[in-house]
Amino acid sequence: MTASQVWLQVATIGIAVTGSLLVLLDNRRLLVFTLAVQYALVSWIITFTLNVQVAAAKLVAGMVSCAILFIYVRSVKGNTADDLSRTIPFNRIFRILAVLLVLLVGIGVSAVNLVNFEGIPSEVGLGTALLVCLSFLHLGLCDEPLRVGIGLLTFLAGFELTYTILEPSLAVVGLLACVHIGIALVCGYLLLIRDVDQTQTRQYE
Amino acid sequence: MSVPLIILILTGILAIVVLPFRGRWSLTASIASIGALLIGGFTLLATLEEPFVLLGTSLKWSSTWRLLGRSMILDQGNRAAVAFMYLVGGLIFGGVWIARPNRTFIFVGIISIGVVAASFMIQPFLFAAIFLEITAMGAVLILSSRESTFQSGSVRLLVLYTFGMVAILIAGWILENQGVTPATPELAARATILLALGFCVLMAVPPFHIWLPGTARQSNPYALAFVSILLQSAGVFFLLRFLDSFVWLRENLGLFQGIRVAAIVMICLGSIWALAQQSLRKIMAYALVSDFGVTLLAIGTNTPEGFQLAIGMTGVRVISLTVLGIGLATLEKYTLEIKEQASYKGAAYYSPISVVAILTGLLSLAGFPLSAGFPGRWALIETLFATDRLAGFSVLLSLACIGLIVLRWLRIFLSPEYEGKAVLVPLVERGFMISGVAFCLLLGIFPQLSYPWVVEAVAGMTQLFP
Repeated sequence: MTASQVWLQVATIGIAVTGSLLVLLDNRRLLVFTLAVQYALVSWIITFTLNVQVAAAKLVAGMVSCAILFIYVRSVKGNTADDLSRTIPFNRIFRILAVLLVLLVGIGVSAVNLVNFEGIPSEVGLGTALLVCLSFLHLGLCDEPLRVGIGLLTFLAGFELTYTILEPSLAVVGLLACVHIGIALVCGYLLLIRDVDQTQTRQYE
Repeated sequence: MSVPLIILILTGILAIVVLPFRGRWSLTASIASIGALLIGGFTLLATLEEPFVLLGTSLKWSSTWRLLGRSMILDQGNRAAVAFMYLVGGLIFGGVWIARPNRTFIFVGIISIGVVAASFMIQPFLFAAIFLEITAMGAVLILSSRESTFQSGSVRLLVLYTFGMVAILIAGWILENQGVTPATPELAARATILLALGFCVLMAVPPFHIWLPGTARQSNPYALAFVSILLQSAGVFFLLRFLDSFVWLRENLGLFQGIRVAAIVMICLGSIWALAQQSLRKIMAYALVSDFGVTLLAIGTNTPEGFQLAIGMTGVRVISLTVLGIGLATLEKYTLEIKEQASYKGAAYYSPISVVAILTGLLSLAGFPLSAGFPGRWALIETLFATDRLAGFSVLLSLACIGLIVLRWLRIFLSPEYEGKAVLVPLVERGFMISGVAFCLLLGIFPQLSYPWVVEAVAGMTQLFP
């Protein structure tokens, strides 16, 4: 096993950890910080297969998204990512069990080449599967705008791990960077208006 | 100078111009409406790739704008579709000062139209999925209102469109790089499943319609009408471009059968759900699901006439939804002014024009005789009864359900509970709503005013319309 393969495995384990923490943590600032670390790890993985410029573009887009989310998080009251409308269990033990199960599912899914992606290193495939599966868990458990935004950004980061290798054109990298920043802006905005004192929704009968 | 770049720059300038006037409804609505109509006119009339003289200067506008290795191309294949979006914007922005959705509506709306236009022009067109995702983000901002604490509908819209974008991008990569043909059935099946998933999201096929009822409950009806028109029109054009570009997809009879089944499910569920609703906003949402289903059914016929009908219905929906959205928005406003509670009993006495607009919009959306939606529905029913009777009956079911809903609400609106005076509706507001209703009826009586023009939007798809 070469040194680069070892580092690739380390980075993949890293994104499994950050992806799991994003589901488990409640502190909004810590969530955004963890997301930033995840972006750094994803960019690091990309450097193993593509040139540094593409990875740098991803990193910049990710960091800008995190900065936007952080600004919004600072603007709202409280620092805990609440989820008032949830209808399924959300306590820590449930989430730990769910994360463990989903990690196993991710490992299983990565072993099956569903779409015949040739030339994708197995570690990258594993990273993609883990991030996508964890983002599904995240999106399934929550509907608070910040958490949904983080879930979507995790999903996109996982997807791009593979897609960037398949389609490394600069235009696509740029457009997907716009999508990351746009999601951060929109979810931040929704978080902000959710925080403002509001009147109850009127039901028109 | 290239025309796609000029269009996008003009769109950006228009958005920037209206930005400082947010909240001054009549001014921003006028600027946005006139601006969008002018850009639409420019798109239709611009001379491409040929020299011409403007103010004594010889000019030649290119139809292509290259950016980072990709191109935006305006040609005869997409010119009418791009113009259509701007003209629709011009019509809808005109009614904003009456409906008063949120303050970001016009600014974000203009940008969203620009993004949809870019999605029509981008080559390879598979990347249009990313532009549609960006449009969905704009839609979230348009739909979000400070009156509602819980934006579940908007959040769902964003999540679903992200999934849809990813599915279409992967399918696009398979189609471009793996050489999908009828001789590679396994690969074709994978690409078809991914495309089906992506388009189920774009066409709001149940259960991917879940954002609609949520946003209907939480957002201004006029904003929902605009977003539905924008996203749905973009989705239909995108689907037709896929069918136009890939032979194996056009020849996949199973796919069209699947489209027809999904459409019948949409029509039946949408109509029955609409019938079960007590809220007018939710009725609008489910009637939309049913209407989207009818459009999909027209595509599922796999005939040039069916594709043209789908585009024609997409165009007519603009009128029906605008009238319905504006009627609902004004009725809510006046009801709260008069009663301080959301009960529409007796609404026909205090806000008759809004009531007429709502009922006309609903009937037109369902394709009732003498309304704008009727000629398309009638032509589709005629085609379907010759080939697929079940599909034909599903369209009739939707008509019957919406008819029952209109009768039920007519009883509520005419309830003698209210004994006060009618609301004094400003003259221009009255004129706008009456014109909308009249236009709805006019297009029903004289369909040749709209259909031949609207179907031109897809005339450039030479494989679908040989």
